[in-house]
Amino acid sequence: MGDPKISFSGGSFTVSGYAPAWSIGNLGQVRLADYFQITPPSSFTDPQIKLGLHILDLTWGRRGSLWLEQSLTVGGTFHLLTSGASGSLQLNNQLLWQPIRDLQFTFTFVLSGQLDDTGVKGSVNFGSQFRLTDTKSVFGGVGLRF
Amino acid sequence: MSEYPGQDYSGGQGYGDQGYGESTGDPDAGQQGDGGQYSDGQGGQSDGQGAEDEDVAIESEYSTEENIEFSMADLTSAGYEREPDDSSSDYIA
Repeated sequence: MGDPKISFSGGSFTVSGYAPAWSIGNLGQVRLADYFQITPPSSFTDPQIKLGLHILDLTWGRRGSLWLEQSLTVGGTFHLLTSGASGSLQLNNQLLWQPIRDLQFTFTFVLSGQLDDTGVKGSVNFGSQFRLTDTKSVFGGVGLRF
Repeated sequence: MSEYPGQDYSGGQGYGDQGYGESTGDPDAGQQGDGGQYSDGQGGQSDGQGAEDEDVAIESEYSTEENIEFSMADLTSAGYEREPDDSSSDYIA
């Protein structure tokens, strides 16, 4: 293996998006940079940014859909916008392909690793934050109860 | 690549059309009868039905970490072009 040429040790690529009428599953089908703004770490050099964006593309293509599915296995919070009621709920995979009227998200990709002559090895820490807004009946249609 | 994900969406139709239940009361229902009594309450408004489909905001967070390994061929096929300086360190025997 050759000497490392470009290395990463932290620094977060951030993808923030508003995707009205998209489903969460749709996000896994696209190249994020084609539809949304990607903000690289301010401390990265141009070569690091260039390589990092390609790693992000490759990683999202291989893992994005799986991570999105897994993101629906966790709990969340809900807020009823008229009554003001709120609480917690368990998400489920029925939500994956449900178009959401107002789908907002932030993804973060923290890269660690290095590029050498053979390629790149390392790890990616992926984080997602979703804010989904639609009617009770839409969410009720995929099994969510409030 | 799939087609644009949102183009076929029709789920947004119907927002705000939940409306309110119509009153079935006859506005003249309180007319005076033979007995001099008034019927009341039949003209009352139906309310609250619109709240059944109010907007909900759901928030969630998730994180995971995975090892990655991409060959130079993977990177190249994804459009990555090596930096000019990369070749300078290839000479070491």
